Amino acid sequence: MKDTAKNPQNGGESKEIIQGTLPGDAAIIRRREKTASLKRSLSFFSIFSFAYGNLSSCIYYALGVAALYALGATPLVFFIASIFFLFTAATYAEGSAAIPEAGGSSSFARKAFNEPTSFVAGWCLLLAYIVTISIAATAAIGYLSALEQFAFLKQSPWNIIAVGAILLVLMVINIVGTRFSALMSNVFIIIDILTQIFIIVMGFLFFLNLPELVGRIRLGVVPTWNQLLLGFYVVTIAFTSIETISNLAGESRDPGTTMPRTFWYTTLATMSLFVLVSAAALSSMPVEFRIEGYLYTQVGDTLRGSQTSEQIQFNYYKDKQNKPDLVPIQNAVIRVRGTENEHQDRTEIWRELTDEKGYFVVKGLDFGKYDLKIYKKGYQDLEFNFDTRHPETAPMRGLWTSDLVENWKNNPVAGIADAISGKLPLLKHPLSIWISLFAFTVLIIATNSGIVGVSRLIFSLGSHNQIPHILAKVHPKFNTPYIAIIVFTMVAFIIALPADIEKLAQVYAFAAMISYTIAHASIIAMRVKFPDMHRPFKIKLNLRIAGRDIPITAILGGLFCIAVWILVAFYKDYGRNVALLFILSGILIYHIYRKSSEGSPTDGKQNKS
Amino acid sequence: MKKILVAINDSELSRDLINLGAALCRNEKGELYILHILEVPFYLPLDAEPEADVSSANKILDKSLEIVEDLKIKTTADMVSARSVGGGIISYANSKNVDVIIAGHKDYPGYGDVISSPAVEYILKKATCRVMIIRQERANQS
Repeated sequence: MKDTAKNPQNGGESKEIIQGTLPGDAAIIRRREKTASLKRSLSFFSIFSFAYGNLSSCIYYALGVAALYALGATPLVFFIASIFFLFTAATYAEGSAAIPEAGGSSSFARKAFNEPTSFVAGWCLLLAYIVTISIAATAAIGYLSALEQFAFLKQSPWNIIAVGAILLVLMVINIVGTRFSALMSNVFIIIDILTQIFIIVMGFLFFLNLPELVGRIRLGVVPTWNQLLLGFYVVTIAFTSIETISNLAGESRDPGTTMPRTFWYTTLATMSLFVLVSAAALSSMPVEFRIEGYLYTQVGDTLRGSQTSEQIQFNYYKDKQNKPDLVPIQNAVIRVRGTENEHQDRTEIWRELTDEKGYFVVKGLDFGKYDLKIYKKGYQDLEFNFDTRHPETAPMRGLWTSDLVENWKNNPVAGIADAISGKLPLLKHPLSIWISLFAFTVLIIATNSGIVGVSRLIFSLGSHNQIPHILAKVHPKFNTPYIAIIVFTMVAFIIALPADIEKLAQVYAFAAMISYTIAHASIIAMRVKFPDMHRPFKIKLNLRIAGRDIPITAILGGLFCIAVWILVAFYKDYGRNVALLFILSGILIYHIYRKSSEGSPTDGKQNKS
Repeated sequence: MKKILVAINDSELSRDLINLGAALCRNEKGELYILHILEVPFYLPLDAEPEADVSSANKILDKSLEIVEDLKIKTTADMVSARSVGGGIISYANSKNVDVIIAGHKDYPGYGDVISSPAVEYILKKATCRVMIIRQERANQS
């Protein structure tokens, strides 16, 4: 009853012929032409957890670097950035509800402008995703290595091997399908939220002193205006979560309502989480002025002093000296006393002793004038005056900083936990284990979200013939873009090898800001070019210009993105150079591919598998 | 009833048929076959591929798969070119050795919306397995 036949009209592909008992019963089972589309399987919570994975992970590595620049104003920087995050979210809510497909700004630009603009937006975003994968995986191992049992992961090559193992596991999970990874994220996200609530509540309960928190901000001094502005580029890492949500638009069950709702909830979560956690961090590890340095004496002076009983002179340095004729001075007394302190009740005296390397640090100084005296029996006393409002007046290294920056820059939440465990000694051990494991899991989710984002973005670019089709090929069984997942997870691994979070953040900001600026511009352009386009969600705050409604949030959001981009382009050479190299290479690949016969435009048609 | 065949087209009734087939499959831990027939007129060769029909059939089958995709049922969705809807269903059912055929029926023969009455009659007459015919709800005529 069955037979197979070659069909000459169909390139000789086989079809199953089934023969019934009567001539009229003959039939052919056709090879069904599958449409290559991603499964629409993600609910609101699944998408939210993907986005929140990226978002909350950001606080685990960005908080320390942001505080490095913004110091006491870190919560303020997070708050202001959150407002622009809200504007960007609004842009994405409108865009991804109207164009519910993976691709985000790339998809918007395709509709609003043209293919090359769309490609630039997508390619920049791709770099941003790769950078976030690298950062998150590296930071995950960083938190894990804080545990005694995993301390070996601090050293090379174990840290690199561990990052590779994480990426390999996530790569396989993502190839098998998003539904499984969404389930995994959902479970982790509940632990995540509970732990963050605990950290915030405990941090506030034990440490919150609002006047002191605000009092340590002196805009223009602590932080300087430059530092404050630079703080913004670090916090823009959080913007990735917006793209993550948008990229999953193609897989949401009801994009028209799910997407805007997810954007609002994520934005709300962002504002609360960033501001509260950074406030808890700076309450438990307050910003303070520190003065530090090294004391040495000449070898000859020491000998002469011991023989003649004459007073020996100190030599003081900002940095450690490795000169053979210099000997560190141990146990010299460093006394710092407030003279014209702004806070009259803060005229205490701080005393420190130099250690065996001649090093000393005096912590906890506030705004005001101080005098510093160094003395030791047999040595000439030294005395200096300095003003903490002008750190350059300090005789050695004088700087405004915090334990958050000095000791916990790469694992800031562990720093808060450490401060909490100082108040609850019984919890010290379990809390450090919990925080390390929990931060590790959250960062794993973020890495996973990044891989999901990359694969969806590549799928979108590939289906519009903007990158070679082989990259966007969908797995016949799992229906996931497996080649893209494999290739870009490997690229992320390579990028993670020499990872420096601050430098990676520069690269991220340079690339991502181009993409978000294009997203804002696209929303505005679509309002002008296609005023009657179906928009399940439409931004309500508009300027009426020449008969068109132009969303104010998109204008402000775009200006913010341009400002951050200029900042990075001018001040951060590393980020600018690396990102430019990647972007220009991409444009070259695009140009060559589009010139080839395979890369002709598709008018937005999906590729066939 | 381990193998259940549901014959569908683009009508609303098809969704009910699929849900019914899926429910049976879940009960019996069976296998679901979703079938759409491309009726090829005699003046065309049986293996002709009218682009519009094939594309429409693909969409219908994609939609049907979306209905069952969360239910963890082993599902096969096929389109079959046949001279008659009834003949195609029977041939397919025999080739897959199905245990039950589920098909829909509308009151007005010849309209061709679900499965025309001749098709239902043919299935009832020729099928060697069990057959379930589901009729669309009738408007209140009183």
